[in-house]
Amino acid sequence: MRIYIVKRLLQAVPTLLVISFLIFSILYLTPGDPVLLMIGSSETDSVDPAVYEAVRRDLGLDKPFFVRYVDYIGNAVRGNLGRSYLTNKEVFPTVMARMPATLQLTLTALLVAVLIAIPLGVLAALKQGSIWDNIATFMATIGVSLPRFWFGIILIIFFSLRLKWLPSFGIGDPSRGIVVVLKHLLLPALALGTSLAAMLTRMTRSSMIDVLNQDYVRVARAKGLKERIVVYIHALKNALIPVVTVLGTQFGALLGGAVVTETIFAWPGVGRLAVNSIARRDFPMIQGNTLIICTGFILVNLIVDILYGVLDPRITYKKK
Amino acid sequence: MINKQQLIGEESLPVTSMWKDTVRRYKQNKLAVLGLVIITIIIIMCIFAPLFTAYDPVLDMNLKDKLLTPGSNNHLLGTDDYGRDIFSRLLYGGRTSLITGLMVAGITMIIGVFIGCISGYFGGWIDNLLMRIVDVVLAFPFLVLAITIMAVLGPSQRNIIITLSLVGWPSFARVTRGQILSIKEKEYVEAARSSGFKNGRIIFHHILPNALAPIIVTATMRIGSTILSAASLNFLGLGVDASLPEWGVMLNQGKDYMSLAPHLSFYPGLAISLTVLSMNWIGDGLRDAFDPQMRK
Repeated sequence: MRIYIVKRLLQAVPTLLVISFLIFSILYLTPGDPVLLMIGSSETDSVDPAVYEAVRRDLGLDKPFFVRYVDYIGNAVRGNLGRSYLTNKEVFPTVMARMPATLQLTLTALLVAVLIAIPLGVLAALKQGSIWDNIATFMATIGVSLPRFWFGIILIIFFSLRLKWLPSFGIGDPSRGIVVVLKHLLLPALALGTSLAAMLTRMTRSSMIDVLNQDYVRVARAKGLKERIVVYIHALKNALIPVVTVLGTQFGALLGGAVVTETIFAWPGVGRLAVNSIARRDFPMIQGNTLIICTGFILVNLIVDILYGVLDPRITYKKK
Repeated sequence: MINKQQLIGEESLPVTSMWKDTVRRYKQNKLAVLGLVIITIIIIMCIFAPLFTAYDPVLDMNLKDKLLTPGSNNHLLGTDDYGRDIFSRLLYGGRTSLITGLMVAGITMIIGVFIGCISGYFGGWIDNLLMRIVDVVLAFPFLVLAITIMAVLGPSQRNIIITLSLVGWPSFARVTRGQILSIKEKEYVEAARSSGFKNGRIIFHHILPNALAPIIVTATMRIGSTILSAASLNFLGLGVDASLPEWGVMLNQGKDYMSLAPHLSFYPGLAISLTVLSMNWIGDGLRDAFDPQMRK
C-alpha cells in the first residue's frame, strides 16, 4: 500500500509537468505584448525604448522560450509564480489567500450533494419501479440539465429578493457567528451542488440495485438479519465504492462550476479571480491560478484513488 | 401461397433489423419520445424564427419600451433593458446555441473516434502515447481549461467552438477505444484479417459500424453538454459579442435586473434547460434502445 502511494505520487509529477508546459505555452502564444500591459500603455502609444527594454529584461522576456519555461518551473516549485502585471503583487500568495473561500464553497456543495443524493438513491433502489423511484430518477435528469448559473439566479430571485430569507451575495464574516456564515453559504452551495447531487443520485441508485442482487446480500438475508442491517451495513458500504470514484472525478467539475457560481454570488474565491484576471488580461495571474487549480484537482484524484483501496480491500495494488 | 402454419422456426417470425428494433424500443420510452418532440419544436422555431416573431432580435431597440413584463404591448415574453423583444432574441439565440452544440459534437466525435480507433486497433506504443495525451487533457478541470483557452483565443463564436472541441474529444476517444478493444477480438474481424483486408478497411467497415451505438449516445449527450458549456462561457462574458442574441449572453444581461425584471433571466435559462433536458432524455432513450441489457 505504501509503495502504491509513493508510486502514484511519482506518477503525478510528469502529468503536472505536461500540464504546466501546456498552460505556459498556451499563454506564450497569446497575442498582445506583456511589456506594454505592464507599463500600462496601449500599443499605439510611444514608449521610451530604454524603459521598454528594462521592463522586458525585468520580466525575463528576452530569454528563449524553453529557458523561460525551466525558470518558471524552477520558481513554481519554490512557490514563486511571478507577479501580477497589474497590481505587481505576487501571484502565489494572492491565489492562496482566495483558496479557503473556494474550498469552503466546493466542499459544502459536495456535502450538500452527498446528503441529497445518497438517501434519495438508496430510496429509489429499494423501491425500484415505484413512484418514489420515478420521482427520484426524473428529478435527477432535470438536475443534470439545469445550467448552474441559471439555477443560482433563480435561487437568488426566490430566496433573497422575494422571500428575503438569505443574503444574495458575498461571503459571511466569521466574526459575526456561524449562522451568518452558513446563511451566506447555503444558496451558492446549493446552486453549485445540485447537478452533482443529480448525478450521484443516479449512480447510487444503479450501484445499489447491482449490489442488492449480489449473493452476499442474499446470504445476509437468508441468515435472518434485519433488513435494515442488510441494507445499510452489507449493501450500502459496497454500493458506495463507485460513487466515491465519481466524487473524485467530479471535483474538477465542481471547481469549474465554482468559477461561474462565484461570479453570480460575488464569492471572493479563485474562480472569480480567474474571470477577473482574464477580463484584465493579467497573464501571470491566469497562469498561476490555472496551475494551482489543476494541481489541486490532481491531488484530490490521487487521494480518491488511495481511499478507493481503503474502502475496497479486494483491490490489490501489487499487480499494477 | 404459403400456408403460415407450414413455416417453422425463425421463418415464422417477422423480419426485423437492428435499426427497426432500436426504433421500436425507443418508442416505448415516453420521456425519450417527449424529448424528441420538444427538441423538434425548438429546432423548427429557431430555423423559421422570422415566421414566429415580427421583431428583429438586435435592431428593434426601443428604450421607451424597455423591461416590459411578459404579455404587455405585443411582446410575448416582455422586453430586455434595450427594449428588444425577448421571445425574438430567444429564437435567434437558439440558432447560435444549437449550431454550437451540433458543430462541437460533430468535431469532437470525428477527432475522438479517429484517435480511439487508432489507439484501440493498433495498441502498443501508439496506444500508450495517445492515451497519455487523453489522460493529460482529462486531468484538467474541463471548464477551467476552456476558460484559459478562451482567454488566449479571445471572445468569439468561432473560438468557443474551437475551445470546446479541443477540450472535448478525449472522452470520445476513450469510449471508442474501449469498444474497439473488445470488438477486434471477435471472429469476424479475424476472418476479415485473414482474408487479407487492409487495416483501414477492417477498422472502418468491419469494426466501427459495430461500435456505433455508444458513440451515438455520447454524441447526443454531448450536444446538450456543449450547449451548457457554451452558455457558461458566454455568461462569463468570454464568448460572443454581448449585443448578439445568445442564451448565455441574455442570462448575463438579465443578472443585473434580477429584482427589477426577473423574466430577463428566467426565459433564457428555461430555454437552455429544456433543450439540454430533451437531449439527455433522447440520449438515455437511445442508450436503452440500442442495448436493452444496459438499462438500469
